[in-house]
Amino acid sequence: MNILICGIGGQGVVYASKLLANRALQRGETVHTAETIGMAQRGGSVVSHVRIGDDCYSPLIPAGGADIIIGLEPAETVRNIGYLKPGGIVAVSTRGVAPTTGGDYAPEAMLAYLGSLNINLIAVDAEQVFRRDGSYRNLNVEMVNAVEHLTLK
Amino acid sequence: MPIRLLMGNEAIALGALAAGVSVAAGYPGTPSTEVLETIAKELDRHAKTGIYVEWSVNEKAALEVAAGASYTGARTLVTMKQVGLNVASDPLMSLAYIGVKGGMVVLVADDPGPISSQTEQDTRTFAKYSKLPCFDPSSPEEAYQMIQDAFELSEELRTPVLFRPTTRLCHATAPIDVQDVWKTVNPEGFIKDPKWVIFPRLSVKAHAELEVRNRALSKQLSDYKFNSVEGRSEAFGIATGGVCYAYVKEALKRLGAEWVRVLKIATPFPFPQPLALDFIDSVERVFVVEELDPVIERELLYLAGSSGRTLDICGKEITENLPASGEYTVEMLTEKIAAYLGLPYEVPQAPILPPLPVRPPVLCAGCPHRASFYAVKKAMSGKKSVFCGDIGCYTLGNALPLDMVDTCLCMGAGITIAQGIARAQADTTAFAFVGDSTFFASGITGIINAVYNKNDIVLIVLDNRITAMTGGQTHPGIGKTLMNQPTAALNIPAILRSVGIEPRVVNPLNLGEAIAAVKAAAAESGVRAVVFEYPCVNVEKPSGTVSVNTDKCTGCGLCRREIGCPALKIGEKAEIDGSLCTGCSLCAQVCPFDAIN
Repeated sequence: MNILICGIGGQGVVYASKLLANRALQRGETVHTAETIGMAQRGGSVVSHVRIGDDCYSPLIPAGGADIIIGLEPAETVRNIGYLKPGGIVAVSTRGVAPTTGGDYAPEAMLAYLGSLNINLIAVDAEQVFRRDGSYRNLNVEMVNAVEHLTLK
Repeated sequence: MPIRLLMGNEAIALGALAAGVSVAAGYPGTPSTEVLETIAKELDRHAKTGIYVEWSVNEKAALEVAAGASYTGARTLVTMKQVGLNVASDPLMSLAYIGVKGGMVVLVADDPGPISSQTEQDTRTFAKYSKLPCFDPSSPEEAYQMIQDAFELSEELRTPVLFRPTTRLCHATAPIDVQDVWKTVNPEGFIKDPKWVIFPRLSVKAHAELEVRNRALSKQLSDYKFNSVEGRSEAFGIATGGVCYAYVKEALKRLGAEWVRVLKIATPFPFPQPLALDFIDSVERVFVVEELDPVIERELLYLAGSSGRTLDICGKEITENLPASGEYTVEMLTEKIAAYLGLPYEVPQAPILPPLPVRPPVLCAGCPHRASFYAVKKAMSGKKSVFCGDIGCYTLGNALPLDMVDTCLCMGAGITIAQGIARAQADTTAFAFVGDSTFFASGITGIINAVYNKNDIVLIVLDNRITAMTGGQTHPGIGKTLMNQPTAALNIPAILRSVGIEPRVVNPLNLGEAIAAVKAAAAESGVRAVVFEYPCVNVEKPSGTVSVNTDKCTGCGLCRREIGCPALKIGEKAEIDGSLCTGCSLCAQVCPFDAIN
């Protein structure tokens, strides 16, 4: 099982991958991950690879090799869609985050693009997290929980 | 033994502790930083005494501290990123001749890509240049074992040993069986002997001995367990090393070609020649897969040529099958290996994506550097100036809309580059920006050079009281060591005064005062300094946010255009993202309509 988590530096991508990996380890599974650490964590595009099972060598998921993508941001999900297996699952937060260096973009166009693909798309409303917590900080944990609930029971 | 999910850097740290390391020193640098942090955490966790770990002021200091400890017989570890080795190369080159007593491992993390570095230099090449043995692990699991072997070899040969993981190993995690018992080493102590004093006479002898030793080591390392051959093909061979070994294995699995004979090189220097010759003799052709320099490829070409073997060796050097620079991927290698083996492989079509927003890394919301850069920009508006930047979060001041970094070369260089520009181009005000950690690491010598030579620069110290870019490490200005001990907090303005510079010390978030200080400094001549003091938002989490008065806001977007804060969004009106805003109020000071409070 290969799970790719993507988002923007500051959204807790690395934390989400640690959570997934440690839970897999507790279930007695072999797990490997690879993280983006360093400069990109300052608001850049961030990706974590989680590989569960003892048949993988590379820490990174090959293109077309992800069973699931957890996307904390629509455009980042699109950016990484090449990692998804045909017919794989994508859980995407519908809330767009504009790049800070200027130039707004339309998250709707990204979601429409995802909707046009032959994938198993699950849209997650980040505003529900915001309404509960007053911030988007726990979106990463909520999405990991949701995906685990769907796929691992 | 408990199985723990460990990042490569954590595995290396725990391996070093298991090997009995008792003095560890380094300077932060991605992707190496977590090694020393893990050692400090583990000491805390086990309440261990007798083991020492420090953030040194720079890599040269770290290497010398470790060398001294190793002269007594203690096992020592030094950590740095690849460019740090350039700083530490002076002591390292001599130490190769002098040698050590206790095992000493110099961990240098390379960064193919590069992902967060200035260069793509290959430490395996440095190993050959410095004539020091080098270990190149291929996974976190292997790194945990291999670092222990590196200590053994170092102590056996009485030489420092290089250990060279790359980013994808440093920041990959794997489940690892961890020994909780750490080896105890009882150092003999420092024994006075002329052998510790480098002189030409000693160097003549030491150099000759190094060459003999390395020749013998090439044979010895052929039997090393992590230098290995697997697969049964008598036609097709692949030679690889480091994390590329994992990529090759993954590609072979995808192609159903696990029969290919694979040579894994764990010690690129001294190259295990007998093992490699056996490998060459066992196949008809070899494809060499390695990131960065063609180290393995050149060794194989040399071995085949000098021993009169005839076989095809392809890779990046002569046949140019693989890129000469940059990071490799499993996809790329699957395609190249399929072509090499003559196997059918349908290259997956990259999906055609809609236009995506570009996201370069940026300064955090509330970052005091944004205010400092903005103040200098405003103060020098319309005046001929050059802004020499340096290494740290503040390199991100180059991004729009600030656009305040005209040069960036290496640690501390901004200060001295500015002096050269001012000497050669007298009508320009040359600014040098330096962060607090870089100031201590290698800024001070450049400042003394400016004072001594009466050079004309405006020094801007961006003191955010932390080594921020690498994730918040301590440094000499903070008053706390890596082991959480209180220590003297060196005062940057006092250091500047001691060399005859009277700095203006300002809070950059007070925009009017900050601009005035820069204007006043720019109007003077000689070495002038403004020290902007305000802590990093990741150190002292500020509370509170600003808010927009929608009656006053015209939605002109000037706040965002001027300062580019990630917490600002412009719709009909300006909007503040409360989960990012720190309440620094820079936007409020920029707004011409007084619409943000």
